[in-house]
Amino acid sequence: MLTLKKRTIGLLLLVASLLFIAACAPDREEVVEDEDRAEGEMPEKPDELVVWINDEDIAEDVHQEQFDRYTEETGIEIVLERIAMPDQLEELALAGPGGTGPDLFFQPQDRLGDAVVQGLAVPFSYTDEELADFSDAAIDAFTYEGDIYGAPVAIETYFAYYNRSLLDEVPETIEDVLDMSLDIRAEDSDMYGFLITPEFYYLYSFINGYGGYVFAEEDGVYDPDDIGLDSEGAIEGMEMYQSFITEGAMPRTITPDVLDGLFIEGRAAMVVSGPWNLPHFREALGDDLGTAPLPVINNEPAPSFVGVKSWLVSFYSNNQEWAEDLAKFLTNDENSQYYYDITGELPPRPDILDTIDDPIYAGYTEQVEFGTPMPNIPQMSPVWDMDEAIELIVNGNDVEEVLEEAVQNIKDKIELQGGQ
Amino acid sequence: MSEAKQLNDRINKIKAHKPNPTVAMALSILFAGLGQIYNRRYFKGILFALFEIAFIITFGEFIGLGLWGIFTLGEIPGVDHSIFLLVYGLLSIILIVFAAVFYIYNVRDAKKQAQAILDGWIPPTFKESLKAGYDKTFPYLLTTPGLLLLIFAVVFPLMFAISLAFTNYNLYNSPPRHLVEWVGFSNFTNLFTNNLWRNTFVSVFSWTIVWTVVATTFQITLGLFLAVLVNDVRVKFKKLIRTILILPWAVPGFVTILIFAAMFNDEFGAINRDIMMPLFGLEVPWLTDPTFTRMVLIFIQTWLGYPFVFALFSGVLQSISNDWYEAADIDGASRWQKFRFITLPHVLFATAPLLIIQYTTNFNNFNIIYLFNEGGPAVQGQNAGGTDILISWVYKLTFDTNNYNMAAAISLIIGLMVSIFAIFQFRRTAAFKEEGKL
Repeated sequence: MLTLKKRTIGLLLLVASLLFIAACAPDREEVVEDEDRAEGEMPEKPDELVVWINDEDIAEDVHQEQFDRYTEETGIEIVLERIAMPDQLEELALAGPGGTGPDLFFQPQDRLGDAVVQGLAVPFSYTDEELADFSDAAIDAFTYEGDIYGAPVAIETYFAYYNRSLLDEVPETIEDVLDMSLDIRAEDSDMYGFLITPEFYYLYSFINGYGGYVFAEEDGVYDPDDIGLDSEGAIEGMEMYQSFITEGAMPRTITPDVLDGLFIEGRAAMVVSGPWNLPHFREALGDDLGTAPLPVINNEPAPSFVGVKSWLVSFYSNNQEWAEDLAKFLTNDENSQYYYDITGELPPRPDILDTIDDPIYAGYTEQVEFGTPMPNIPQMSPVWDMDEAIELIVNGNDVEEVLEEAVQNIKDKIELQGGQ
Repeated sequence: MSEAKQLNDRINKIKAHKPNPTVAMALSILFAGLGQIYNRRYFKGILFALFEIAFIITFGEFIGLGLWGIFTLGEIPGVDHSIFLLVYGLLSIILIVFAAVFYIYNVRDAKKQAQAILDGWIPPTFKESLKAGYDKTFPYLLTTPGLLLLIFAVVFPLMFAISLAFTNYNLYNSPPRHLVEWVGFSNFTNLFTNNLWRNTFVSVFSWTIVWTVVATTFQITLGLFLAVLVNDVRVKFKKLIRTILILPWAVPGFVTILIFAAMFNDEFGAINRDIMMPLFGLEVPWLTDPTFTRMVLIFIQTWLGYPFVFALFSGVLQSISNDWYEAADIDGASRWQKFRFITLPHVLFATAPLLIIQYTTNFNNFNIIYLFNEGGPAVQGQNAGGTDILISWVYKLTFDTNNYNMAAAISLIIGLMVSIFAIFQFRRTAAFKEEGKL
C-alpha cells in the first residue's frame, strides 16, 4: 500500500516536472522573412559592418583601402578586425551567438565544408552575369551541395619553374621531362632535371592526369563513399611518378626546403612549386627564371589542385544582404585589380588574368585554367594521410598495394569522424 | 522607563507568544521567511522573504529557460543553440542547488527557533544576533569567495564535460545548423562495441598503461641507482656530480624534447647520421616505426624524469642514520642485504606518495608525446597515432576532428582512472602521517 502510494507520488512529481519544463519553453516569434520587401530590394542600411581579415599587415593595408572605397560609396562604416585565418571558424562559433561576431569573414575553400556543416556561413545569391566574371574553378571551390558560399578573392596553384641557363626548351610532356632529367643526371650527378615534392598536394597531378580522383563528384556534390585514389588511373599515375625515382631521375627524400634550395643554387633545371616562391626565385635567378604550366600528362595538360580564398557571410550577421553586397564590391574588377597590384596574388577573374602581361606570370595564369579545386567537404582531412602512402611508394613499395591500404585507412577515418 | 524594565517587558512579550513548530515549518515551506515572521523574528523573516523575491525576479526566467534547455537541448535548429542551452541549464542547476540549501536552512531555522521559544529561549536582539552570527560564521565568510570560484571554475566545467559525454556533439551535429541531442551511454558503448573505436581504444589504452608503468619505473630506478651511488662515502666531488646529474631538470622540458626529436629524425638526425649509419650501417626508423618511437619516448622520459627522483632520494638517503648500517655490519649483513632491508624501505616509505604522483603525471604526460612526434607515426585501422596516449588522443579528437562527444567520454574514463590513483595516494599519505606520530 505504502509502495503504491510512493509510486503514485513519484509519478505525479514526474508529470508535474515535465509540465513545468514544457511551460518553461521560451516563446519565440516565428522566424519570418520580411515579406513586404520586393525581390532584389535591399533592407535598410546598417551603420557599420564588421569584417574579420587575415592577421597580416599586407592584408590590413589592402583591405583598409578597399573598405574606405566602400564607405565612400555607401556611407557604411567598416570595422576591421584582424583574426588569423585558421582561427576564424572556431572564434566565430563562439563570438557569433554572443553577438560580437563579424558580418564578413575570410577563409580558404578547404575549410568551407566545416563552416557549412556547422551552419556558420550562408549562401550568396549571384546573377548569371556576376558569375560569368569569375573563373569556374573558383566558383566550384566555393560551391557546397549546389549552393555558392563565397566571393572568391584569390586563387593559387602550383606550376613549373625552370632555369633558362640549364634548359634550352621546356619539355612538353612528362615523358620528355623524364628524358631531360636522365640526360642532366647522366652528365653531372650533382645536378637534377625535374623535382617535385613527394606530397599528395603536388602528386595529385599525376593521379588525376590518368583519371584518378579524390571523391566522385556530380553537380558540385561530392560523394565521400566513392574514393578514387586506388582506381586504375591513380595507380598508373603513381607508377609513372615512381619511375622517376627508380630510374634515378629524382632523389628519394625531397622536402620543399630542399627543393627550393637546389633550384636557387642552380642545381635543378625544373621544379614544381607555388606562387609564394616567385619573389625568392626571381631574386636568385634573375632573368634566367621562367615559368610554364605543368607538363602534359597522359596527352592532356596536367591538372593541379587550386586553392581559393574567399569572403564568407556569417550566419549570425544581422545584415546579411549588405555583407554580401560588400563582399561583391570587394571582388569587383577594380578592387580585384588593386588586390593583385598590392599582394601579387591572382584574383580568379579571367578579365584580369588576361591583362597581366608580366611574362613571369605566364605559367601561373595558364595553369590556373587546368586547376581542380580541392574537395571542400570535411571528409577531406583524412585524405591528407596520402602523404604517408606516397612515402612508401617513394621507398619502392608496390603502388597498388600501398594505395589500396591507404584508401581503406581513409575510409576508416571518415567513418570515425561520425558523419552521415 | 529604566532599562531593566524595558528588558522585562520584552521578555514578557516574548514569553506570551507560543509558536507552534509545525506551523512555523509549514509557513516557511510556503514562502521563505514566513515562519520567521510567525516566530516574531521580523527582521530575519523579511530579509529571507526579500531574498526569495529577489532570487525569483532575477533568476526565475533564466532558470526556466535553462531547465527547458538542458532537458530538450533546443527544438528549432538555427534558433536554439544546443551548447548554450546546455550551459544555461547547468548554471540553472547550480543556482537551484544554492537556493535549495538556503531554503532548507530557512525551514529548519523556523522550526528550530519555534521549538526553542516554546522551551523558554529568549531570542537575542537584532544587534546581538548580528554580532553572534558574525563570530560564528567568520571562517565560512572567508572561504566563500574561494568556494564560489571553485564552483564556477572547477565544478561547472566538469559538469559541462561530463554532460558532453552523453550527447552526440560532433562536427556534423554542431549548432547553429543542427541540434545536439542526448544519446545516453551510446558513446561509451560505441567505444567498446564499434570495431574501429574499440581497436583504437584498446591499443591506445594498453600503450598508455605500458608507457606509464615502464617510463615511470625506469626514471625511479635510475634516480634511485644514481642517488645510492653518489651517496656512497667513497665518492669524491659529490656536489659537482649532483649538479651535473640534476642538469636535465634545469633545462625546460619542451626544449629537451624538441632537441631529441631533431636528433632522432630518421634522415637528418644526428643519431642516425653520425652514430647508426657509420658504426652499424643501418638507418633506424625512429619516427616512422611505432615500436622504435615508443622506445625513444621511454628513453626521453627517463632522461627528463630521473633528476627529480634523484634529488628526492639523495635527500632521504642522508637522513638515514649511520647507526643502522653499523649495526648491520656487526651482524655481518652483505651489501645487498643492507640495501634491501635498510636503504630501500627507508627511501620508499618516505617518498611513496610522491612516487605515485610520478605515475599519475606520466599517465597524462601530454607534452612529451605531442612535442616529440605528435603521437605519430600513423597506424592502420585506428584514428590515433602509434604513440598516442589517452590524453593526446583526446586532444586530437577535440581539435583535429571535432569529435567532442567521444573526447568527453574518453576524458571521463581518464578522470575516473586518475581519481582512483589519487584516492590511493591520499590514503598512503594519511597512513604515512599516522605512522609518523610514533
